Amino acid sequence: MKHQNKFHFPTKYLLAILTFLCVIMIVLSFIIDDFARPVKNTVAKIVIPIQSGMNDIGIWLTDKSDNLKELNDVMSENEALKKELAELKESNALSVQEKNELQRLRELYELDSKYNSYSKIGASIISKDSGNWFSTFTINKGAKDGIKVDMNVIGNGGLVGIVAEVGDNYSIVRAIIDDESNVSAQFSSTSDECIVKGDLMMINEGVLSVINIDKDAKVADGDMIVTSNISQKFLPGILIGYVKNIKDDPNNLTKSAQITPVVDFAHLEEVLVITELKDTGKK
Amino acid sequence: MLRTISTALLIFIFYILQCTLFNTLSLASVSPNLMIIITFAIGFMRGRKAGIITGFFCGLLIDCFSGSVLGFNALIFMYIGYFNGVFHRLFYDEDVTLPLSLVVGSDFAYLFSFYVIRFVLRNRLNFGEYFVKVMLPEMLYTVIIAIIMYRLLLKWNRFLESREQRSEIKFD
Repeated sequence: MKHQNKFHFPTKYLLAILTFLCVIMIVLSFIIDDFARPVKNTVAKIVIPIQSGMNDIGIWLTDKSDNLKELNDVMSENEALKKELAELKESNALSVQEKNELQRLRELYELDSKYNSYSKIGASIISKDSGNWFSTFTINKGAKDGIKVDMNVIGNGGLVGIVAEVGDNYSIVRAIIDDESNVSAQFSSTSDECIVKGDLMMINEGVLSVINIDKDAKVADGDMIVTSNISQKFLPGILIGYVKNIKDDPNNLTKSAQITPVVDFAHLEEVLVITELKDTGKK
Repeated sequence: MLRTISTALLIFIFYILQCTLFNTLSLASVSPNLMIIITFAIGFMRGRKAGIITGFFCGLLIDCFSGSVLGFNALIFMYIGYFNGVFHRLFYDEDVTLPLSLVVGSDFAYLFSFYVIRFVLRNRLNFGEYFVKVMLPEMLYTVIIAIIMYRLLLKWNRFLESREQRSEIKFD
């Protein structure tokens, strides 16, 4: 008797109803901007702490295994190091001279002081996008820490990306290597404008593509590229990387190139979020 | 009851693992798609209805953190779960070929629909290159992980089934 009471819902209807639900959700998220916010925040309350925990465990485990490995290595390394020490003493004298030179150059380097004037919050990366198509990652600071959409994210001394989405206790950052990322940039030496574009096909080579460089721009391989003054979302003067492989486009009006970012995206753990938004003049 | 709770827990654990552990274990910047594995496994082992519901929630979880439209992944995963459920009639424990080809098929279906909607519409048309550099590695990696995961999931399914049979006998 018990089993006959059980109501059997036909699979076809279930499929149809859920399909309809999905379509409605898709349409609603296009129409209403923050439609999914409450759902996402609730899920994030459970998922984010666990992800942070998993991360801590992972870091702890790697630390432990590294310690063990180190013990074995240390003995043999010690021998080698003693030899190296003698050589290094010699080369040290040379590098002291070079260091002094570097210091002088740094003082000339105004860009550095520009960064320091922005107020920043530190955050750590706790998870990556679940698929292999896009390069977005989640950081452990959110609206509660004062983070807003479109804030710039830097790390390793260069531009990492931009905040694409904010929840209460997390935010999602779109890295500049992401396939949908476009950054308006300029050459720091000549102020020629260009666009730095992420490209999935180039991620493994560790480069991004640079397009729309003026044909007459006097630029050369190794020039520095920074974010542009005219960018809608990026603060000016943040270092992106160094350009290479400049070539003329088939249309003979522009040049394109590749850029090696200064940020090492594969080993990024901590980032800084600049808590200033670009002032575009409209409110 | 136990089945529902353990399935929900499993989906959750798989998602966390995919975003943290398997992310660091990625080869050539590609990580395996655990959500496809669990959607396939439950659809195949338990039938269409279970596949639909598992797929729906797996997709929804991904949607919550992928920053795109809510419901898009849920829709794709739901149909993947459904089609794997259709093959439930051919399910028996020792078979290896059919399950593995189903994993490959499911992952390809997911990747392809994703490619069409998020890349072709932005005029990125060189399918061959995307296939070789992103889809193929992910499918291969997913199948290798699936061989291990599927065994464990089979054991889990067998355990639940034997438990349910026991309790049925007791109460009837």
